[in-house]
Amino acid sequence: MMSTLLMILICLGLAYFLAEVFRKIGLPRVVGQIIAGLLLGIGALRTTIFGQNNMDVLTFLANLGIVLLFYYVGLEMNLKAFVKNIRKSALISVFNTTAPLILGFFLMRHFFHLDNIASLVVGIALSVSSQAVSVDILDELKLLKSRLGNIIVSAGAVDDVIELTLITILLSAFHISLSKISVFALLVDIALFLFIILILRALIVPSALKFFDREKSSTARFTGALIILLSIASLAELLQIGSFIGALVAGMVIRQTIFKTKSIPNWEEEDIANSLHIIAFGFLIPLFFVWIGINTDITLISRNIWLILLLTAIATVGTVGGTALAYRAGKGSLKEGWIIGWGMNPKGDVELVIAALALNAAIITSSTFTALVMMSLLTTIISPIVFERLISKHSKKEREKEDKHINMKRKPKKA
Amino acid sequence: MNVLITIALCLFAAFIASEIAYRLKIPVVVGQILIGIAIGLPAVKGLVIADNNGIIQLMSDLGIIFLLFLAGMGVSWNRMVGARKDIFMMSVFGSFVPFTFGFIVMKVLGYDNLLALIVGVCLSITAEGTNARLLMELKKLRTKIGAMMLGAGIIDDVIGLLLFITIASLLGQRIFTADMEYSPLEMIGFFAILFLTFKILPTLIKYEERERGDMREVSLFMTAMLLCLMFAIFGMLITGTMTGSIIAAFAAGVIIQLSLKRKEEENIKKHFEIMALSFIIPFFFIGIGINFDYTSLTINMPIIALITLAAIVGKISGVLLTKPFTHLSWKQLHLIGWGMNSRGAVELVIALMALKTGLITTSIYSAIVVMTLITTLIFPFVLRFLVKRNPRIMS
Repeated sequence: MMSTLLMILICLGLAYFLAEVFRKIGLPRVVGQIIAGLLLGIGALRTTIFGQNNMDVLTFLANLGIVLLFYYVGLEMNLKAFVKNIRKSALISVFNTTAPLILGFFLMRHFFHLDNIASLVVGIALSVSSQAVSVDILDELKLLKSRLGNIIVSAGAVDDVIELTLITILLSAFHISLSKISVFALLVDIALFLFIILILRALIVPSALKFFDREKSSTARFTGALIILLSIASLAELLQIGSFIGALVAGMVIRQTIFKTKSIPNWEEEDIANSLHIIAFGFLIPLFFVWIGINTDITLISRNIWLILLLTAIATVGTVGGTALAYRAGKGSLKEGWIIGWGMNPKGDVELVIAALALNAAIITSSTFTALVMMSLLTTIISPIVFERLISKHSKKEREKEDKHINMKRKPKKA
Repeated sequence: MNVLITIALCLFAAFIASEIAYRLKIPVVVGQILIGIAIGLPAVKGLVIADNNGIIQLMSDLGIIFLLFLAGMGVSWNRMVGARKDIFMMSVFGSFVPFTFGFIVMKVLGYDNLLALIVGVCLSITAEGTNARLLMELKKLRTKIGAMMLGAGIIDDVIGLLLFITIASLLGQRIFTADMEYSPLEMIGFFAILFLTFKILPTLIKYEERERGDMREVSLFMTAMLLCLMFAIFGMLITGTMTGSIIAAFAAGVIIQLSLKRKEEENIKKHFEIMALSFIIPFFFIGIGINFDYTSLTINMPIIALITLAAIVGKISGVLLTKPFTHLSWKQLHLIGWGMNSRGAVELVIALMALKTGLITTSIYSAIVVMTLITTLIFPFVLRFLVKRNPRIMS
């Protein structure tokens, strides 16, 4: 077995290198980081680098990564945008999350004979998506402010809230099935947790934020953000709700406090979110993706190849088709709906968290886990490529149309 | 116990301790070490740390590595090079004199040569961590005296390392396991990497700075992280001890400082510093206290007092003795002496090794442990006091 530090260096170094390589060919970093894990997980390599001890450390760091990820998601969760866009995008969001969810659930339940909760895990993992890659592409093509770009961003904001609600329900379901506590006991715990959070939010968090700003340094503010996160996450853990939901709530509480309390000038939600983003995505979250890769058994891929392809197909058909239909129903053209659908399709973080948790809790088998990871990988590789092609072609046409329009307008003037 | 809760409790305790220290106007580092000692009490330790000792140890190791990496970036290299003769003299005298003191004291007390030798070595080595953090806290890292203190400390570490290897072979212990065999090849490899990093780093940073959006900052952050870890591990592979990795992490910091422009250095450092100072480094100071092993302690006041006294007087008089070779004032030398007086890294390993082989008694081991704590805890007070009395003493 190797020294733990060396293990961390190898994981992080390979993840960094492959992420940059994939970045160069226009694919999201996640892909490179998971593949780094897949490589490190190969038999002999795995046994030399990771003994039981090192694997425990990596698991811990990966878990910490998930906590930070959820904290970040909570900090970035824009309820205002949700309210603003809900009327415009509700149809799209509901369609593109429920279509893969229902398809996936019934398929797993009836054809693969998984039990209810495992099917639910697969369904939700198929329905979750993350638009970060698409937003990146839109930004690069300078189309973020365009009509389609706007729709994707706003539907994404609504999507996030729906998906997080689903995940919260799922995580609670895990707890009930695992710790065999009754639904009632869990509800009492949740009520207690929310009650404490409300008290904290009203009495302690605002003055705590002010307190941490006393030194006027970003380090002190970040310490404060960390301490609040860890306290709330530990509280959630003690109340058996799970640290991830705790982290999510902590993020939302801090965001709310910063927005509502005008008297804490130096606390900028963006500042904290930015530091958190860099530290999490530069250190702990890559380790989580590597962990995912290591725990994916490559030997199971060929045996489950049809399951993998099927899941990928359902995820894609469900999301893209669902979006296109919803857009059509909202009196848009089917073609534009198709493009938006591909923009909504990439995955890359939260569904992996669900899969990892379900694997740890022995709710899904290692072959289902492998299939989910491969599905996520494939979707995340394919979608940006298709989306970039479609949207740049579309915008070119749009521009030509506009040019014609302008030309037609100009001509009479000249005459 | 859930690891997350342990981490939360430790960070929370560290935070409370620093707040109290801040209110009492004592150095924050002292507060953190003391709270670590409190957590290390067997009863509390079982409750808070439980079976998560490995993780805390890892965080603590990362803490000292990151700390010295930041110090390497922050310290003024030009000043260090400019004062290289002074620094060299100080570290030689600063380790030789306390060694003699310790040796003589033990001989006078009637112990045998080997034991006196071991105690002498334990008194002669400086530990860098507290120094670096304190200089950061007081924003004195860029001053001349700050540079000399750190420089002398680092060279002292190298001397300590050599002494450690000597002692270890004297004790007949193989400290290098088979795959860590010391070889010239590894040294050459290390220098090759040093050189390559120096050459490649600016290109890499330029490449990363061209990226768009916040991914640019993520890349820069990861570069700093990887560089630091890579050097630390090389240091560990070559020397087989933590001290080696600490020296190498410092070297990595210096390389960044030398090969990048000021602006680029700021960019690469910004978020790394936030993470390290708020999240990882506190664990190093808590770790000092937590590792304090109560169970093997027997309190023998006279020996503790003698060893501590020999350590302090030896170190400070050693540094003061360099007066003829330097152009520093007595006051400045006095301050540097206190700065090099912090201990607690290699000497603890040596002492533990000697205790296990039965070469020193429990009471002497305890005395050495207590001595490291006392010397580490005194310096922050002295530095603050001296700087307050004479604000320009450091420049």
